[in-house]
Amino acid sequence: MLGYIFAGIALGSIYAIAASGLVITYISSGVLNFAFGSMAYFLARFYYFLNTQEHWGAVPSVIVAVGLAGPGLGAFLYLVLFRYLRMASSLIKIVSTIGVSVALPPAASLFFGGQTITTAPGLSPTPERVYTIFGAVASLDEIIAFACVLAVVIIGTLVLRLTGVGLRVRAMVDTPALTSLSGVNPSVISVGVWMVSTTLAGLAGVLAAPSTGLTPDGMTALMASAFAALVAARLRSLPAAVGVAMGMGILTDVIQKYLPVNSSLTNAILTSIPFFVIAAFLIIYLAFSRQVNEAASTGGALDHAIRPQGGSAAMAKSSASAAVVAARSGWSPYMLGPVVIIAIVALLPILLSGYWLTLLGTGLAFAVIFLSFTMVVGEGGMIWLCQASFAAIGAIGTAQLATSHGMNPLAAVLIAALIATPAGVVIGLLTIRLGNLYVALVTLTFGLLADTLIFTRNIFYQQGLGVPVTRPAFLVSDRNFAYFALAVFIVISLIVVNLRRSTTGLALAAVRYSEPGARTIGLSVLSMKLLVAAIATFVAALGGGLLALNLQSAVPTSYSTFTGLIWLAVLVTVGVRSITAAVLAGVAFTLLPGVFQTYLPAAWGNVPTLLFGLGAVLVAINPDGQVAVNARQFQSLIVRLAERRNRRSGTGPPDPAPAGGTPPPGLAGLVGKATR
Amino acid sequence: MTAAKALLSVQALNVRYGPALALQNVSLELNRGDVVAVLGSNGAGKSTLARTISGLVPAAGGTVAFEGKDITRRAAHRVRRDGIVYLPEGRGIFPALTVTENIRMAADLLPRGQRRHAMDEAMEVFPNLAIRRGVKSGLLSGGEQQMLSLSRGLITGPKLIIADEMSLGLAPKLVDMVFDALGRLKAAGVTMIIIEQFVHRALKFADQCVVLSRGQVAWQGAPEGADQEILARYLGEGADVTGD
Repeated sequence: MLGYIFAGIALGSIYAIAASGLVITYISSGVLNFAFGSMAYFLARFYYFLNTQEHWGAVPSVIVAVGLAGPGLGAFLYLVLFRYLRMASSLIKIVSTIGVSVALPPAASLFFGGQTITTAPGLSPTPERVYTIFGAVASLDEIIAFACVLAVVIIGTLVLRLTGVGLRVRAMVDTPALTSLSGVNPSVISVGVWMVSTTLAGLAGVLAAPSTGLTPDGMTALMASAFAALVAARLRSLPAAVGVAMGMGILTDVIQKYLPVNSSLTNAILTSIPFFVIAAFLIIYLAFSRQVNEAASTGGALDHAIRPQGGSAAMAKSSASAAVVAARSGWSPYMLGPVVIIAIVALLPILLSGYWLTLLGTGLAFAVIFLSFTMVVGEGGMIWLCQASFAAIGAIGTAQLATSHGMNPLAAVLIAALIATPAGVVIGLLTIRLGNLYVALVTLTFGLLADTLIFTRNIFYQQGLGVPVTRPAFLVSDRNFAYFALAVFIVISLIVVNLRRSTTGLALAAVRYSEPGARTIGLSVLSMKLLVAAIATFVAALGGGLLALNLQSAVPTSYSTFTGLIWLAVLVTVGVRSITAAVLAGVAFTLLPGVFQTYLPAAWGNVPTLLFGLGAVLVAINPDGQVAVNARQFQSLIVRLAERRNRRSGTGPPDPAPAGGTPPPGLAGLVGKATR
Repeated sequence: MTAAKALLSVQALNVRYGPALALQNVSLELNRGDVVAVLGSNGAGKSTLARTISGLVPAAGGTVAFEGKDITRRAAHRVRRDGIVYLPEGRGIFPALTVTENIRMAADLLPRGQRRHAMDEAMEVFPNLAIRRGVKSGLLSGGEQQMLSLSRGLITGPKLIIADEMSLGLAPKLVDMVFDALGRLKAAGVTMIIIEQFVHRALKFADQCVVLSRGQVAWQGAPEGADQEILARYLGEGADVTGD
């Protein structure tokens, strides 16, 4: 038993280090770092590069990879990205950090090589020493992990409690605005905190790599466990996060004593622990306060007072323009852009053939999946990170119904999408009273849980081959399939446009802009959000089914949650509220890698993913994405040209009414009544 | 009065919160030793003006100059180092830090050798704070918190103090205490901008008055002539000081 506890303490120590890193960046800068797992992977991969590929010793490797590169990476990311995010909305913060998480693994491949790593070394020398303590065995790696968390807690406490730097950090956590008013530069504090946090990510990555594996997915799983501790700590309490993380680690190992070895049930229970910890704590918090919101978690009254409604100035500008777009009805010249783009895409199946036509069909199926993000994130304002899981349900459902039960493939796609829809409604019901960050955390953990519990089952997985699906006879040709996918895309697009212009859409836009403001005018959008969640889930599953039909097999690993994060990064780069963006993102997502694979060296294969990640990082500057920016520029150009033409022809806009002039009749009537 | 001679010169200031225009074309000048009351109804833009001068909220247009230097785009921490102290609405304290830590945060701007003395002096001026030096400031009474806020502002000898609703939520006796403390500063020749809910006390205290309405300067002049204007701006154009 003691051996299990030792192993659990070691695992809990790694979770605790990761949770500490996440908490300190959140409370000091307001950014929940979804890139923590990728940072851990990047630095652990650098450690592997130095230690295994370059044959450096463990100590110099960890000093360089964690002690020097960690703070360097943190400072770099703060300067190029995180410093812009303090005033940004939750969506922008999350998507930007997701962009980093998407960009770092391919960057690691470019810098350190792309070979598959089967075993990663720890910090202890090989062969690993073991010690007997109170009759139980503890490995040196376990002892090092525990020593590291002790060092982090003791040094952290001493610095925070006894030094001037610690006082400033605590002041910053309390209220950043007042810290500035005390003459302290918050950026200096923030960059220091990010450097420490990234170092902790590197340490957690190096310590975790021998057990979780040196892969982005393994590190994302580590991050999910740390997120569970973070939710338990309501994002703020460092001691609570460390305590819960240690508890989860011990529970994970001790429970194994009572579970069968090498059993799928054991694996399922172990991987479910973070999800159940999150669920348990959220239920407790909801029972006490009916609502769990991160809004109250950062800053004081002054910070809230100076924070612009609707996020940063750029976000507010885009939100306002989105509201204006939403208010239009009927035909508008502004619709010309999307129509032209879709018309051009409609020409592509005629112009392309063979490999490129297959890629186009795949891209159009992705465009349908991306529309689910457009609905749930762009319109609904709910940051769901599990759309890939719904697409997976659509894909494997289609394969099971069509291949195993002999159903018509198109009917199978439709029924699989209907089967997935209740899952989205349940997630919607569970998260409806949560703040944006909690929604993102819950959906991410749900996705990771589905990856491990459902999609690895051999009935779906089939030793990695997936279940084959046959297209219906009229869709056997790639050209026909591309047109069919485009038709589905157009139909769903019309639904999105209709939703956007409906009263529900306007209410959702109001909530996106300011939830407290929407509440004060009596808008209750719970049922509307549920409706959007249901439709978006259906659309994601429909897209997943189409993708399976296009590829003629449903391989669950193609729909992993981490892959879903890349999808979101791609869409947000182009524009999360734009239908045109969804189709462009879908086509670019498949054609761009195709171009790289065909015309560039194999080593450049990861560059498109890197670019997609970097593109998502740029949403900190352009929250609505590139298409919206270009559309606005194009619209202002048209307006300028029209004004110039009017000036030349002498038919400018009518002069404004003189000040103090006669009010319109309706208003005059009101004034009359009021004064009578 | 010219911008070159003025300690603080605000010219044609515009401030936006997203699409909403909070301040429009606001101009204001203060010489050394001036005490200006900025008055106006809720939402008039008083706190926004204070926050913009102190660097917390960015200006969308116009300029703010302090001692002849343009500080319009200067960050809040640099504005503070220049000598402008903003005592924000509510309580300008760190609730999770102790009284001593709060004062230490302010004293850190002083040279190392002067910090201890300045902290002791702050405790002497407000003896209640000395008694509760180890208590987290969030647990202090409203009056004690305001004393702490004032002591934090005064410890470094500011050139300009912007006091935003210092009397908000305080008992009358404590309001007297706040005005006594501000009076001592005025007597010492400290330049001040007072944003106050107690209009008549503010007018009695100030040398000049600026009335803001819907983000614009509606009136400015000597406090003696302000009564009628203020009633009109607070209660509407039809309001009459005689009550007719």
